[in-house]
Amino acid sequence: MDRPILYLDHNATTAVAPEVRDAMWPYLGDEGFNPSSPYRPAQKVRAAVDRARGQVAQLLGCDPEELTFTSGATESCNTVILGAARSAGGSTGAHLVTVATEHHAVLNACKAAQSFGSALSILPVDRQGRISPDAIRSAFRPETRLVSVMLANNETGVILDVAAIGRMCRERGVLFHCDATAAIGKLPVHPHKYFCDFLSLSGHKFHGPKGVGVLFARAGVKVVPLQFGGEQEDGRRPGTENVPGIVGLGAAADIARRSIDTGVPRSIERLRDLLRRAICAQLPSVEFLTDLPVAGGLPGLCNTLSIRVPGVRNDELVVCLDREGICLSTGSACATGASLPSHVIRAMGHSDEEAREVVRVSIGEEFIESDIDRFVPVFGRAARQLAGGAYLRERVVVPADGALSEA
Amino acid sequence: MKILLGLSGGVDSSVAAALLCEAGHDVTAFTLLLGHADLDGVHRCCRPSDVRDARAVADRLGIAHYIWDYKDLFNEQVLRPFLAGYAAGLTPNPCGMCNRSVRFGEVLSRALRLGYDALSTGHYARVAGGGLYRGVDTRKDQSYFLSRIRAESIQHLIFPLAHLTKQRVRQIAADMKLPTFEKPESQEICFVSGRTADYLSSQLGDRPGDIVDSTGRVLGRHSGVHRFTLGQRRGIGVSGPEPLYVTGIDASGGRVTVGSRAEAFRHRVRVIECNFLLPPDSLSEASGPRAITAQFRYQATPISVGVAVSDLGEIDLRLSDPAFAPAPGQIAALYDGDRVVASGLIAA
Repeated sequence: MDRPILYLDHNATTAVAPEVRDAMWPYLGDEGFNPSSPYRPAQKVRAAVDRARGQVAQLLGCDPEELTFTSGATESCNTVILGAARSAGGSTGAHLVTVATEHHAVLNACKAAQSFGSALSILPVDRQGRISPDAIRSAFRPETRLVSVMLANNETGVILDVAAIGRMCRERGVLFHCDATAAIGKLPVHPHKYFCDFLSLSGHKFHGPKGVGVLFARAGVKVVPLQFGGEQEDGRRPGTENVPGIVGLGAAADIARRSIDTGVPRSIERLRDLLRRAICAQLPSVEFLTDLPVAGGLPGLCNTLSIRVPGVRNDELVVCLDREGICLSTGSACATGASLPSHVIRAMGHSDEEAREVVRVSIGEEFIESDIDRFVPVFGRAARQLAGGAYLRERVVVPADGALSEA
Repeated sequence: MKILLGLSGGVDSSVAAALLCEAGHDVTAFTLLLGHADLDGVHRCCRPSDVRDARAVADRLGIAHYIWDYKDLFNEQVLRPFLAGYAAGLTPNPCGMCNRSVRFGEVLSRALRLGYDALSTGHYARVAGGGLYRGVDTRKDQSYFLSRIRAESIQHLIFPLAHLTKQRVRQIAADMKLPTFEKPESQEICFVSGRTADYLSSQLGDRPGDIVDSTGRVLGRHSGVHRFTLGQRRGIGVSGPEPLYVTGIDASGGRVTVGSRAEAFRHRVRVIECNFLLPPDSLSEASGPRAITAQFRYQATPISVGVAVSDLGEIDLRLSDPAFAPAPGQIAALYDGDRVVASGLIAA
C-alpha cells in the first residue's frame, strides 16, 4: 500500500500538532523540573503550567482558577460524578441524572456510583439523539444532585442544547456537568454560557497530547478529589503535574481558539456536506443518522457523519476500507475490539442489527476536496461487495413463556 | 494470494501465519472473540484465544490483525446446542459445531466477501484437490474436528501445518523468534475452564435420577445425565466388584445405566446429520471396494466399517471390530485412507 493513509477518524483521536510538539519538547528534556520545587529552574516550569492554564481559560472563556488539569476527560467525568455521589448528605444518598447516549466515561461512572448507593436515572433520547430540558426536569427528585449531559456526541455528532439544560438545572439548584470532549475545537465551548458547574475535556481530541485533560469547576463549586495525595492543583488533583502534557494541551487550546476565530470549522463543514452528497449519489440506499437540520435543532458537529449502509456489517466495511488505506470506525473505539452494537445508536431507536450497519466518518483540517474523490468510489465499491453480509438479521425472538407477542 | 488467517495467539496459528508470510502471501490475521465460561476433556481443536499474544505475533510479522466478535453466533450455533445436547443425554462436540458454523461457516463467507482468496488456520490437516485429509503428524491430526465442514468450503482452505509435526512447528517458532514459541498446549474446550461436568451443572442445574444396572436394579443416584458420557468410568459415584462403566444414558427417564467394560462395546453405529465430502453413492459397499474406516472420537484408532447410506441420508455402520463406547452426539468421521469422506453424529 503506497498511497498515504486517509484518516477519517478524528473523533477517536487526532495527531499532535507540530506546534504542540514543539511547545512540549523542552519539558521532556532540560526543563524537566518539578513545578512544585522551590528553586529558580522549577519556577520556570511552574510558569509554563500557569501559562497553559491561561490558554485553556481563554479558549473556554473562564477564569484560570476554575481549571484543573487531569489525565483526560475520563478522569474529569469520574471526578465530578463520583464526587457528587460521595458528597451527598442525608440518609437518602444522591440522585444522578444522565442520558443514554453519553460516553462510557459518564455512564459507567454513574453506574459505579449507583453500585455505591446512589440512585441513577438514565434518560432516553429521541430518534434524532436529542433530549429536552423538560424531559430532564421531569426526572428530578428532591435528592437530585447532578445532571450530566454531553455537548456533542462523539459517535453521531448530535449537538445538544446544553445551555437550556444548564439554565434549568441552575434554577433548580442542581449541579450540571457537561462532557464537552467531542466538541472542543469544532465549536465555541463556553461553560459559563451553558450554566455549567463542571465541564470535562481531553487534550488528544484537538491535536493535543494523550493522557491530559481538563476539569472546569465553576468558581465556588467544590471539587471532591478522586485521589488523595499532595496539594497539586489546589488539592483537587493530587500528583505531580504532567508538565509536557499540560503545556501541550495549552498550545492545542491556542490552536483551537485561532481555528474557530478564523472559521476553520465552517470550511470543514462545507467539505463534510460535499462528502455527504457524494456518498448519497454513490449509494442512494444509505441513511444518515443525524438527518439535519430538523426543526429547532442545532447543526451537528461540523466534521462528523454517521452513516448506515443497509445490509453491510460495519466491521467488514472497516476491514475493506483499511485494506485501501482508509481509516474510519464503527463508533467509539473499544479497547478489546469487541464489536458490541453501539449503545448510542441503539438509544436512538435502532435495532442491534441496524446499529451493526453504522460507520462513522469524522474528518479533520487536512481533509481536502480530492479526498472525496478518493474515498467515495472505494466506499461504494466496498459496500456493494459486502452487501448481504449482515448475519443474524432476521432473528426471531420468542419470549420465555413461548407465547408470541405483537411488537 | 490474499489470505485471511485465524490467529489464536497459540504457537500453531503463529507458525501458520509466519509460513504464509515467508511464502510471500498477502496475509491478514483475525482473532475471534467467542465468549468464555469458566472443561477438562479430550477436545483439542483450537486453543482459547489470547488476543494479546495474537497481536504480538501479528506485529512481529508486520501484518494487519483484526479482532472479531462472534459471541452471538457462537452462543446460538455452538453453546446453546452444546448445552441442549448434554441435557438430552448426548455428548456433543462443540469444536465440530464451531468449525462448521462459525470458523469455516460465517467467517469463511466473510473472508470471501472481503475479497480474500483463501481462509487459513493452524489446524493439523491437509487439503488437496478439494479433499480434506489427515495431517501428517498423526498424533496431532485434527481432521476429525474438521470433518463437519461443508464440502464446498474445503476448496477455500489452506492449512500450512499439514505436512509438519508439532515438534517441527515449535522449532520453527523458536527459529523465527515468534513471541509464542514456548506456549504450552491447550487441553480444554475453549469456552470452559475447569471441569466440564461442573460447568454443565452450573449451566443446567441439578437434574437428579437413578443409576441402574443392565437389569434395571437401582445402584444409586446421580445429579444429572449431563454429567455422564458413554464409556465413562470416573465420577460415577457407585462401585462394584469390578470397574463400572456408563453403558447407557436415558435422558427422558433420567436414568444412567452402568455395567462392565464389555457392555460398552458396539458392533453397529447409526450416524445422523451426515455431511458428505464425497457423493453418498460412492461410500456404499455396493459401489465398489472402498476400504472405509470410522473414527468415533478424537485420536481414537480408526475401525474398518461396512457403510450403508439410507434414502434419508443416514449412515448405518457395521464394524469389523467392536468399538468401545461410541458416544451418542460425538462425531463419527469416515475415512478412505487419510481422506475424510463423510461425517455425522453418532445416534443414540
